[in-house]
Amino acid sequence: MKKLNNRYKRGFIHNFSFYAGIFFLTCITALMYLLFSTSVICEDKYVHDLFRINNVEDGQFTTLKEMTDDDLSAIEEEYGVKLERQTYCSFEEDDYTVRVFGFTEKVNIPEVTKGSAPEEDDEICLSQSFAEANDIAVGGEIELGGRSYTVTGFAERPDYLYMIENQSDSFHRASEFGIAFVTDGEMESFGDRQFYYSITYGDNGQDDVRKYIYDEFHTLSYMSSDTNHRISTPKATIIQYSLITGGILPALLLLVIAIIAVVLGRKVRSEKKHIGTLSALGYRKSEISLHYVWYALIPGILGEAAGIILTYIFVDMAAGEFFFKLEKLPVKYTISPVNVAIVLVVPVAAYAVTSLLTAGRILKMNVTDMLSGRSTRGRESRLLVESGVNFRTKFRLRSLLNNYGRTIVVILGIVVSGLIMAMALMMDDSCKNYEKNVIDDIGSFNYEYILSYPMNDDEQEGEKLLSNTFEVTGSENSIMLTGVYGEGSMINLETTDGGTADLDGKYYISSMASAIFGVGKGDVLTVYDPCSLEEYDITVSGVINNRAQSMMISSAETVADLIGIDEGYYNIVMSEEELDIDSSVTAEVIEKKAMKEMIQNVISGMKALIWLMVIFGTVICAISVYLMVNMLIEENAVTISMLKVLGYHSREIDRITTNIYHILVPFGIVLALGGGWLITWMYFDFSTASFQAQIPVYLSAKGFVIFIAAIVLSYAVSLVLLSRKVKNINMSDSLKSARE
Amino acid sequence: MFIEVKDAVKKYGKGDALVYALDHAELGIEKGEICVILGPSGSGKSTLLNILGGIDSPDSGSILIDGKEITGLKPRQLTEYRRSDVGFVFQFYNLIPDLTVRENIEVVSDISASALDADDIMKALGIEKYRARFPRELSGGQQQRTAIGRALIKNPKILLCDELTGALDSKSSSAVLKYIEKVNQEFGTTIVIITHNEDIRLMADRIIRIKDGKVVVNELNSNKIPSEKIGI
Repeated sequence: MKKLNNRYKRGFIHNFSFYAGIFFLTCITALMYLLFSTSVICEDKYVHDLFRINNVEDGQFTTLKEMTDDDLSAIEEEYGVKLERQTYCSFEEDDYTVRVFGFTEKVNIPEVTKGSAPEEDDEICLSQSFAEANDIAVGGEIELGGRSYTVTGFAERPDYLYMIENQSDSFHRASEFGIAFVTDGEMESFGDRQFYYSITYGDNGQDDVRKYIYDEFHTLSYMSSDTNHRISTPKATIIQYSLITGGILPALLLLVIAIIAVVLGRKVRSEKKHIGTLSALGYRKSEISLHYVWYALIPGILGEAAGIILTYIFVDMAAGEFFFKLEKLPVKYTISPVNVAIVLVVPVAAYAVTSLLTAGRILKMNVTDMLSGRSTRGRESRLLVESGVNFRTKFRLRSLLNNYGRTIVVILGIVVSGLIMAMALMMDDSCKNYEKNVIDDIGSFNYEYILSYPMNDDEQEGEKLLSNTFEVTGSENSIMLTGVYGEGSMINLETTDGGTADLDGKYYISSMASAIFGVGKGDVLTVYDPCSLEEYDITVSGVINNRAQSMMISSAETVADLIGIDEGYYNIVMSEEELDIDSSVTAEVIEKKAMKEMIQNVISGMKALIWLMVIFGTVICAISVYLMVNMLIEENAVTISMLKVLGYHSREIDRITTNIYHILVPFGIVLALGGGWLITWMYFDFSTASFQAQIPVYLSAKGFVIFIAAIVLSYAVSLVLLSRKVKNINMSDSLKSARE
Repeated sequence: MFIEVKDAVKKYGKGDALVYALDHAELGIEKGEICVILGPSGSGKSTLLNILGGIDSPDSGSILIDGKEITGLKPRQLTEYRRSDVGFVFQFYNLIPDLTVRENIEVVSDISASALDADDIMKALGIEKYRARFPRELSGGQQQRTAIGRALIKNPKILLCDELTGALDSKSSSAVLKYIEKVNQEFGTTIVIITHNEDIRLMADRIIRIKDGKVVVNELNSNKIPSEKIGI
């Protein structure tokens, strides 16, 4: 066996590009899987530990009647909850806004992630992403409200891991908004302090305590952690990525491994005569099988080892990038031994089993059949036997049909490699398209002023609306009910069936809300007031074409009647131009331009990930296609050499043999596009609530061209690189091997 | 001479492993002859056939076919030479498995400027009734006749046969040789057969013997007898 094993080195050198392809593909596959799974597992653990240990709130609320410390203690004792006042002060500077908190002790306890907590009144801790985006290091300085603070460290709150300024924001802007922590003494010195209450419920549930607080202190607003995007988005992101790590990624990787295994199996099949020779020489079946298994195992194990080593090198640098939406956390990325074992075992097991099975199948043959290289395949297709169609066409069709295993492998190779690229390009294009076209779904207004309380000032400029947020029974998401006065000139009332919403006494739902809650025209949506917990059944009269907001729309009179407020009141003002509304009555101002900027932010945040996927996809595509074409040429070597002997020119030979697979490229492309569309759609559909955006899947002409060009180029470059192989097929050697 | 080989040398290996497949070989074959080249294994027969057919080149020397020097031809010109002037028949037929008998023959007629009629060829070789069968559905003799048909369809100037009966039983061998003789008589094709089988020399116009790459015998066969009378 030792002498026989000398073949390995020579075999690998002789088929260097083939085995190098297997090595790189296995390496990339292992790297992708380990990096992503490590990132998701470690982030998941860190975030959930932070939520548990630092006691993230279950809900937050404001009340008309202020609760004293005694009130809070009494409620805690009576209902087994933890309840704490959350005091903050917002500083709007020229380039950014900083929301400064004190150090809470029961709920949403801050976590110092770097440096130390402030001890003096002129010291401060900042959230890390904001600090880094503004080039502020620990030990540096920041000026807030005209006062300079020394940064003693970075700190995060568990309820601000998704750092958005307003709940209506779609995406975070690290350089423009962050949070900070000061000493209690410093907090006391701020004049313009605001507060709300945060609560975590115990085993007794939440209904009784919420009713009690509403009855005794008159709850003005209530937001559960499920509807608080700052808390729900990290959870949703982890779930999304877990879905990719647990389902889509392994499926893709298994497909890549399956393709490599099939190619390796076919390689072993081409060694039929050598296997016959070894059999004839008296080698045992087990010895022969083992010999061929190592041809698959060596590049497989080396590829896995390289993938694992690269993961260890790059994990700290790259793993956090997948969670670019969240605050930077000091996560310790530990590669799971189970995943290392999976990466070590699955690919080589697949390669080894395929090689063993193929060698085993060949070894079942008669030794003389092996030596003669006689085919074991079934009957040839009799397609077009008696027809007058040119032999070239018949040959092409029969090559595809008779070698259907090879045909399927070629299509699968293109599909798998194209799929990753298609997903990346579609995600990029879909976000850009959303920013450019879909945001305008919301209406023609450019400014939306959300007031702190309902007003009825007839002199107010702009379009007035009356709005109230409801929670939806059986859902973790809330919905905003907006009432429109009159015809509503600035809000989009176009329905998905092409009509215009008739708001009189009727309720319409936006297409985004329709997707989130799974309701459409004629369905009943049960909502409840988050303060009073009173339930309402609302029949949906139609769906309004709005993929940027989760809302229900009706007439202002209907909304006023529902929420028990006098007609003529409004709490939202919309306008095309900026209005001069007193900031003391404005809770939030939403600019359409800012919404677009947020989408741009997410695109730029995703850019690295998207292009990483495009590059990975292109590399996988190029290597897979190269392996396919290599396999095609090797398997057709005898036919190619025979055609050369018969006087065929290289181009004519290409047209008959290798070029027949051109027809599979469009099939692969269509399937890859379809698969990419489906996965991207699933991703965006699942993310609708957390993104606060219903992003339709879109692929631009440019993206389409990049996608097609990458696949076609990979295919064409592989053909060009391998055309030398076609030219180098030695006629006399091939004929000799056919004779041996 | 229709085929002239002058001082042809073909070497393989280096140093101690240097082997002369053709060692200053010289020979000549007249147009329309059946020439049988005999020699032990490794004597250089196949190398000579490959060089005559333009699928290999000598290291030095001259090969003239119908007065045309083929040793200096570029790959494209050699392809044209094989395409128009040479027909090959191999010991293991080398038919394309995905094509039927007729289609295997059409592989050559498709690129030939002066192709003969495929039906006539199949009729002449007695394989017309197998026209729609694939190679694996045929006996060795039927496959070899298909290979001969494929070689003949372009009406080549030279038919080169490499151990054409080597894989056949005696009955099939006899039948195949009969067709070779028939081809020679009907089409006037120059036929070069390389073989181990001494009996085949009896049907030859010319007998050439090669040993260690050297042509040791090149003589006309004055006692030529028809193939059917040879007891193969």
